[in-house]
Amino acid sequence: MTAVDAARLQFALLAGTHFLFVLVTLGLGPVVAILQTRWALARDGVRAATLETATRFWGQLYLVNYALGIAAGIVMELQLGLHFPGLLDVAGGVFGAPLVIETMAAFFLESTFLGLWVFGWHVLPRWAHTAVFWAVVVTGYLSAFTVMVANGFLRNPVGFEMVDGVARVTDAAALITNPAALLSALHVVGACLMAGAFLLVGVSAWHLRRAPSRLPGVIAAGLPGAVMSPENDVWRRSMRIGLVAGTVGAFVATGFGYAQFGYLQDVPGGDPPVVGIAYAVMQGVGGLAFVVGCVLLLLLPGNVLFRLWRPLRTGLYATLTVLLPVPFLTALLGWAAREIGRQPWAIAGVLRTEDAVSDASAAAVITSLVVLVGVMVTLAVVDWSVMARLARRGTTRLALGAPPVDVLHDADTDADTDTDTEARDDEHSTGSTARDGLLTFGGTR
Amino acid sequence: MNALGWGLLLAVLLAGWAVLDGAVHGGVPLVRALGGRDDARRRTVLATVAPFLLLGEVWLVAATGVLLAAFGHVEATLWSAGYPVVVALLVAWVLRDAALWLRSRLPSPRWRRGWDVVGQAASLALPAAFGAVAGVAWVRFSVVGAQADGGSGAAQALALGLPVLMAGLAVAAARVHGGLVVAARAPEAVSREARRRVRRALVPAAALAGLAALGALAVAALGTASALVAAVLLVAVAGVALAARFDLDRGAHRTGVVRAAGPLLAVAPVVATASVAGPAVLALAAPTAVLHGLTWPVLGAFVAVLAAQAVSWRVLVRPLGPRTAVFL
Ligand code: HDD
Ligand code: HEM
Ligand code: HEM
Repeated sequence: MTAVDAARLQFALLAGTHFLFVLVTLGLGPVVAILQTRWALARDGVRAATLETATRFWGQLYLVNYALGIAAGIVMELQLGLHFPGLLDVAGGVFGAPLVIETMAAFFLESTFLGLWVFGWHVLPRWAHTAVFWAVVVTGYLSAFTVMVANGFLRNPVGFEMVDGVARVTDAAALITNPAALLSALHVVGACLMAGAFLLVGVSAWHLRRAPSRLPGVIAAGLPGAVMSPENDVWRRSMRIGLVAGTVGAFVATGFGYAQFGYLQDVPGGDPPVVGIAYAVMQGVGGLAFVVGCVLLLLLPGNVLFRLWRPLRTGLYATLTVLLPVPFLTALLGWAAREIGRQPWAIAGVLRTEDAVSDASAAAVITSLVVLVGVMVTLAVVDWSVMARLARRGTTRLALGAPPVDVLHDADTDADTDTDTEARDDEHSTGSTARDGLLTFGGTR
Repeated sequence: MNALGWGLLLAVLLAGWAVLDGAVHGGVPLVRALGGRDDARRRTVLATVAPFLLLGEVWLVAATGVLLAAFGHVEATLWSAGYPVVVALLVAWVLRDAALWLRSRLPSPRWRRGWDVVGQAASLALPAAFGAVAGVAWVRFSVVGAQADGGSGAAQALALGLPVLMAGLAVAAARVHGGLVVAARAPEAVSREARRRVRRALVPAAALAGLAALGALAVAALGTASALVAAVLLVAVAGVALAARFDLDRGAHRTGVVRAAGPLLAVAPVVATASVAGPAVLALAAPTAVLHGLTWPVLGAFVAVLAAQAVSWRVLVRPLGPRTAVFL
């Protein structure tokens, strides 16, 4: 393998990993924000409690996903300079601009607000806390858009001139309204909404399929409304939101997908088979998801969906859970089509990929390929398995937004988690608090 | 903004990272030592530095953004000269983040203790790798690099020694700084022990700062005059570290010197690097047209960020209490 191949492979694998996290961040973000807004506005106590639980559950998944999304993004950013200095030499002035604005404006604010959201949970007034999360969502979308401007410039370079072999911005507006940035960004928004929605629907369906078996426990715990456990309510709400978001997402992705064919006709680049396959898959998935989504939405009024004939219902739930990875794989294919379709150019028609890579030796690049990709992929898999565990564990023992004493003692109740989930909450806060004065926090000043 | 303005912005961002994320670098290695086998106690220590994580690491992300846009050639030079340490920096950073976010997600004690070991190792490796990159910058953006390539023995020794020295200084500085942050926010039983460890870390930190000052003098002797500034700064920081040790020995841990010692030590590697490498780095800045075009968006964003961070710090940095959110 040459250094060029290794650098490209490394970039592709790491970008793909990063993007899988991004899909969830951007797809789940608005959902959490809406849930929290409704929680903040809820008057009725039971409804507020349900919405609070839903916010904390999906918020926690969002965070566990986000943690590695950042890590993967950091790797991407440093990698551009590490392996593609040619890109910066030739187009640093153009391509660097959106990236610096992204980091200075979008990420910086996004991270700050997210930190405030997580660690200011019990301090901020509810409305401010909700506003902070909306700020996280908005800055997250802003950052995604600025990256798309940078990447759109590679796919379809506009608004620049070459002076002595170096690109200079001549028309910043053209850079932003570049269809390869604008249409693609909207297309990606559709893809993200779909991915977030499949996650919501898949996880909710998994719980709903098992819901009846939980009911006795709920009755035993003496909770009101034994017909439908509060937990069940969370899953039904999540399912509804997910179906709406997914159908909208499929519509947006499809619409802006077809719109992209327009400008792509004039862009230089190859046409390897993977591109055709990717287009076919995207059209299939987008179209089907939209049609099926519409049908399921029609079943929502009157909760028809949740009252279907039992075997049909469990079958449907199982299918929805199994389909969870589909939008993620589709989105990866979409990116592969975009990036591979651009080859042999790094910047279409301007800079060839082999002229953009650093002069690091093949051995050095391959070593970093193995190390970085190995670490990133391992961590990603660990992260996803943690997310799967948390998703299965459901709404019990949520760390996000819980009182500190409960969180600090969550390990003590280890033994009984698998067997008995419902009655545990009230046991453990009494059990071990007295062990160490330290743990009641804040006695000192 | 001209090249100097961008250079200052870069230095401010790096310094901000060193202080904020430095609290995490120094705090996390104390988790196992101060927490013992008691998970709740370990998480209490983690909770003291937790808010610094998201709000701190993003300063380095922003710094690389500035590096990319305004100092692309600097980035390319630095990355190719310091390739292995840059990769190490990335790996350490990613592992540190994963360890902190994932450790408390599952209840198994083995899972948690395992991630605590990873977190501790990565939190030591991260400032070390950063210090080493800074050391490479001393070499590449002063006369040392060219002279070492030309075969001068003294320059070659410096080219090897400076990254190692800076790595050591960055780790020692983080230990002091992080320990002081833990001590300031944790309940008394924990903070007493944290202060004991800070006390022990101060003398090595001062010694390393002194050695780095000698290194700077050597660089100046070879011909990069701006290194003299670094030497003076490093000596001053070493002095503050020793004075802080003196205060702690007297049992006075709320003096201004003790409070200043952490942040000062944490920024020392950045400021020293800025003065050694600054002139050469500024000469490699992007063309003026690029710099001017980006000035307002970037400065405007920076002001917004400062405001958001200031509000966040007011909300988040209080001694631990019943309203602290524990997540890590
Ligand atoms: C800001 C720029 C940017 C962005 C946002 C992305 N990429 Fe990219 N990608 C590049 C900039 C780039 C690049 C640095 O320009 C590469 C390396 C060599 C090349 O020609 O393009 C590249 C190569 C590249 C390749 C290999 C193509 C080839 O060498 O044949 C793939 C499969 C991907 N990327 C996949 C992705 C995915 C899944 C992304 C979703 C996050 C992504 N890229 C975002
Ligand atoms: C070359 C390409 C890219 C680079 C250099 C890059 C860089 C980064 C960095 C440094 C972060 C961490 C920011 C922080 O500390 O908060 C990040 C996170 C993020 N990136 Fe990217 N990124 C790239 C591609 C993309 C793409 C294609 C998208 C979406 C369309 C995207 C969307 C996001 C989002 C939403 C986050 C928030 C964190 C998360 O998802 O977990 N990025 N990226
Ligand atoms: C009818 C439906 C769809 C059509 C016609 C379509 C078409 C396209 C086209 C033309 C591209 C640009 C490729 C290039 O630049 O060479 C693209 C890219 C992409 N597609 Fe689709 N697509 C559709 C559905 C989907 C779906 C359902 C998803 C994901 C869930 C998806 C995810 C992506 C992604 C992530 C990219 C790369 C970013 C971009 O260029 O926007 N697409 N698609």
